[in-house]
Amino acid sequence: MAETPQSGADAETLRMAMDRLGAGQLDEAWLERFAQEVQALVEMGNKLDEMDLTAEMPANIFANRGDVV
Amino acid sequence: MAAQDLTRLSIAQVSELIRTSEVSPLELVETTVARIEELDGAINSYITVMEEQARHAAQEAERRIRAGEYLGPLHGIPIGLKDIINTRDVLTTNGSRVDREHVPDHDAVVTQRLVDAGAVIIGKHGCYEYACSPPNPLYGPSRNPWNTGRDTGGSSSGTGAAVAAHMCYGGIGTDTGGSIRNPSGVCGIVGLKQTYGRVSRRGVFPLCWSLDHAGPMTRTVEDCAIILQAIAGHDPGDPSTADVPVPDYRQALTRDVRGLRAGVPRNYFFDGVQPEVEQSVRQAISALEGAGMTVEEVTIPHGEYIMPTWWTVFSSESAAIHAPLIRENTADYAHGVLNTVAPGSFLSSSIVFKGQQARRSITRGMNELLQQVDVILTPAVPMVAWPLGGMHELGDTVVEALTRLAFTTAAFNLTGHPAISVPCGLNSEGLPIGLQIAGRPFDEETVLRVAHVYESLGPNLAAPL
Repeated sequence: MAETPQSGADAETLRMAMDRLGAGQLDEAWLERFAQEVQALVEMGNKLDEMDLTAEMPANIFANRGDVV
Repeated sequence: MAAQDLTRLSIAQVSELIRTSEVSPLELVETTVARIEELDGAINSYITVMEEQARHAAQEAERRIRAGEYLGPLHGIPIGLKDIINTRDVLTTNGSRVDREHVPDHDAVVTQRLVDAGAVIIGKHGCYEYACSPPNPLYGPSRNPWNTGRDTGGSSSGTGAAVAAHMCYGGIGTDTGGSIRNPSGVCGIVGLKQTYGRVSRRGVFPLCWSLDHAGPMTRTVEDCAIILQAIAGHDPGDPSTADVPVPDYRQALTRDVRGLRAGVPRNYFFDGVQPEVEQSVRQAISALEGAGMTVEEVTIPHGEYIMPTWWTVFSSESAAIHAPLIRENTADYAHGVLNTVAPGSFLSSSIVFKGQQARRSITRGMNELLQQVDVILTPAVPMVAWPLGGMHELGDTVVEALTRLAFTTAAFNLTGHPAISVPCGLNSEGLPIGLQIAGRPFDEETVLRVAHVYESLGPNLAAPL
């Protein structure tokens, strides 16, 4: 099943999310700008949908080598 | 020797004078401090000048020489550190307002290894806030010694400026998407991001665990090899470091480039590069071909997905690192850093996971390409130094601006390959241009060897001040 690409978020959603992250009060102008930044990042990430990664392992694989350090 | 002449010598040159007791470590510290006092008002490369500690260390270095305990080419040499690298009992601000009073109780491993090799830590260099985004909110920007109205690049901005202006003999910067090679390129010095895992990052404030590197910034390739020799090697306390042998890097510089194969990308690395930068880099490639390298065009695998992958890795890790700090100190974070690291909190886990898969695919492709050729030659930075403080104007968003600025360098943070920036000329405004040479994992010897041969063929850039 094809996955729906992630979309960005509006300023109000980001305000709630940042509040939950504990970032406190953020002004309106900054949130508008921040929404653009999130949108740009999400669009970047969505480009990876064009790659065929079905047979690809992730770059970081957990391994327990018994280290004690 | 006149003080001015002394500061213009390379580490390799001045270390011979130290070894033979023609110059004392204390003399070097005094001339370096005088140089800083003379120039740094205009350049603003230092946050902390460690005058007293440096004098004390220089006196100890002298005592050891008199006792016949010469430690090697860094013995008594003033070296500076980016201010996200821990120095015991010395202010280490991480370039931030949040950590404006942070004084670590321990040295970073790179600091300790330099000290063990006899180096004298002369001070802490200014940098972007949390090695992430300009400006530095407390100390302001460093200025490019080639033109003080221009940016130094970053994020190891103070280190680039201080090394270029001879206010230290070398420095340690850090590099997550190009933060060693970018200021090295636009300040006309040599900067190496060695293989991921070659040098410990323990005691260096993280920006992105799997992309961060700490490495040398110097005026010559040989000096770069000297510093790498001191800081390279496995650290049991940093699980990212590899337990592999450390070769003799200076020895690698004795060989020429005949028989080596170089790949010149036909895609990705020259996209959107300023014409004068491209011209200089292609002239450098021709010079290496004239010296006996075989040069061929190559295709960079998955080029169009390199920056999308880098961004998913960078933003998700940096958001995780900074979230607790942002929670406690939102008002002390500059908007530039918030706009760079916080968006990663809003990426879906699906995208983050695809980034991990894509990283594996791109890295494997680059490894395969580096079986066909020994090195890849590209521009280090796609542009010359931009107007001071103007980085964010390179795009409408941080993602766009940083992508435009860092795509040439970030590729090798993503894949972990070693890559060096070496000066290859000036543009028509007299601003430096850098050639990037990337090689196989843990083959810094070949990267340094090619850079060293090019350095002997290329333009000899005059000191800017």
